[in-house]
Amino acid sequence: MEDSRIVELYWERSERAISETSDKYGKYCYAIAYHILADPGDADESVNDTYLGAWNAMPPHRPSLLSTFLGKITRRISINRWNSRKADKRGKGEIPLALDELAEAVSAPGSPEEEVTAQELARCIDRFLTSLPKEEQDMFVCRYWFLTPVAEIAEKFSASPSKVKSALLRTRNKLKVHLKKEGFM
Amino acid sequence: MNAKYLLDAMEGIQDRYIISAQKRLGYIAAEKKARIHSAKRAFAVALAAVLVLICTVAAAMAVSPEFREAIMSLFQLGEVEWVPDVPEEASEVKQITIGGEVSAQYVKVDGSWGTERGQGLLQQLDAEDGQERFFDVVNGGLVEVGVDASEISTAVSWYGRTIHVHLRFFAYNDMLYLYNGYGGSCEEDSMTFVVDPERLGSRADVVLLRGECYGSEADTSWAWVCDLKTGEVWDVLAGCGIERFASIEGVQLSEDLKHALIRGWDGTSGSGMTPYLADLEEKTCIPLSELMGLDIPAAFGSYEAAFYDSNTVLLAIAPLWRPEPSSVWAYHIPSGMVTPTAVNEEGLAKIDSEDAYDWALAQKVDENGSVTIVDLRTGKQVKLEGITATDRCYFKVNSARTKLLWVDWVDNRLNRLGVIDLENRTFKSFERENMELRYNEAVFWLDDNRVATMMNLHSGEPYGSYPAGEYYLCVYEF
Repeated sequence: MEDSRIVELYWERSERAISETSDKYGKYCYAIAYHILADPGDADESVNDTYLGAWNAMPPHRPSLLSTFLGKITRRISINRWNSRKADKRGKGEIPLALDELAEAVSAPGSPEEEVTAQELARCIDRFLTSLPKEEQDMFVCRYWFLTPVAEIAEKFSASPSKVKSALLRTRNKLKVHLKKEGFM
Repeated sequence: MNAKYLLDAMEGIQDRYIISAQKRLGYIAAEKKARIHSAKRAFAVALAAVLVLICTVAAAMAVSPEFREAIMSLFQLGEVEWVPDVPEEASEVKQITIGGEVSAQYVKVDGSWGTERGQGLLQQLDAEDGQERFFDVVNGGLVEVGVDASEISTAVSWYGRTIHVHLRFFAYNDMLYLYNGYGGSCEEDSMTFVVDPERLGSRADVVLLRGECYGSEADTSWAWVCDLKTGEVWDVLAGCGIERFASIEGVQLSEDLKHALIRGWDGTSGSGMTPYLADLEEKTCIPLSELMGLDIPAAFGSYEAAFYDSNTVLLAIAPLWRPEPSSVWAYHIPSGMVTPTAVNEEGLAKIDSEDAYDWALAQKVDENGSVTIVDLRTGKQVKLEGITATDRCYFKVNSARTKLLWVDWVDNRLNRLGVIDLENRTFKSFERENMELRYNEAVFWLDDNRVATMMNLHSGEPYGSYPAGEYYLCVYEF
């Protein structure tokens, strides 16, 4: 079913909207949730919460890109679930690894964190992504938006894991320079 | 700012970046097959498909005897490599010989290191300014090269805008090296244009300029060629009829600059990106399906096409990175001959190369874990005896496509390392010891004859507990 029709179903308050969303985007949302949570049960719950989130958001929202709209909800719910987990379970998934990697790019004493809104930072990252070659752009977003494991990225990019790691390292170094240039660090 | 804040803020990036990554990950629902509009073309394709099927069966029968004959056995060197203890000082080189056949050099290096696509040089990335420095291993020492790099400025015109492009490069041993972070971009009237330089095969006289634009007027790509002596830019794709597409992507140019491969979209919703071969001299652009007589599905991720060399195009359905069985055809451009070189093969996977577009060789693993190397241009197969594929059994081909490096990689420990010489039909390897808990982060061809590995000297240590990256670089010549 076309995305626009699925959105219409949400606006019509038809429960079919959920089943159509599940058919078309269930696996996609599950992949995002599972990368973050590394637990099938938790991932299933996040996907179900995504449908509920979409149901509550439409109306008033009428997203033009349903996949990214749903992906953002899943990502946010899954990260929140990861945060609220007990410490022993929180160690699982890709978040701890991604955080370790990104720590290098933002390590600077006395950063004005409180004064920077997430929105401003997102625009800064947009400008950074624009400056990258397409391959690097995609790899960075696969890793830090979708939290995709390096091995899976390597497979999708037909590259070795070591090549992906070194490409990501180079991109993070560039990001560090960019953040400094734009005054975020 | 902390990493968590950055990770959270990523949520708000523009949708186009998310969609592009979705495509790469295969998360976008498959698009419908491209429709063939003309009955004449449909008939031509159907007829050609029948011919190809006949050829396919014939070729499969022809390939089998060769498969049975070509077997290469592993020769394990009697001597085990005892990796020397790491010296205190960086850049101090140690040298040994393993089993009287393999020379090995070891050097401790600081900072972030990598390789420039297996083309003979090591790269060091400056953590402060992100700039690269290039080094060669000469006579047991690290020697910086490229200190006399040239810089030129030029420009391309696209959609009525001028994009200024700046390049920094040098040639070393007849090979071109380009510095990252150069190129050009501009943003005008809700449009963004980005131009990135890329090496064009082994050519040191010209560089490919890959352009991408997106915004209110278009979302497409293009390619130009820049003469590195004069800075002159040639719009090699102009006049071939490529302008008719609403969007193109994945432009590849043959090294002799006579042909280009593109994926083109006609602007019809759901029609997918179709592969085309453009003749840059005759100024034509014809669907690969028509040239090869194959029905090529247009959905993203359903096919892959690349130049094997200037005269040959390889086509795979499905691409070798997908789990389903793949078939591969070689299309000889001058004669128009189509040769099936892999037929519905299960477990066929691309052998890694330093060039993203290069997939000349593939590996095939059967249910017993036996490994066979497949030449995707000829279909010739070589079965490797003495090794069994495990999760991290890893091959990488050198740029001359004459040798493969092989590593047995378990838990980041590179326990065995070997080289398969496809020309001389030898396969030698050795075992490695004394690596403690050091992780091997990379293994690559330093050039066509030398293999290098990089060990992280701070494996397992928490981030921040050591001042900077320190690696142990091991260089082997078989």
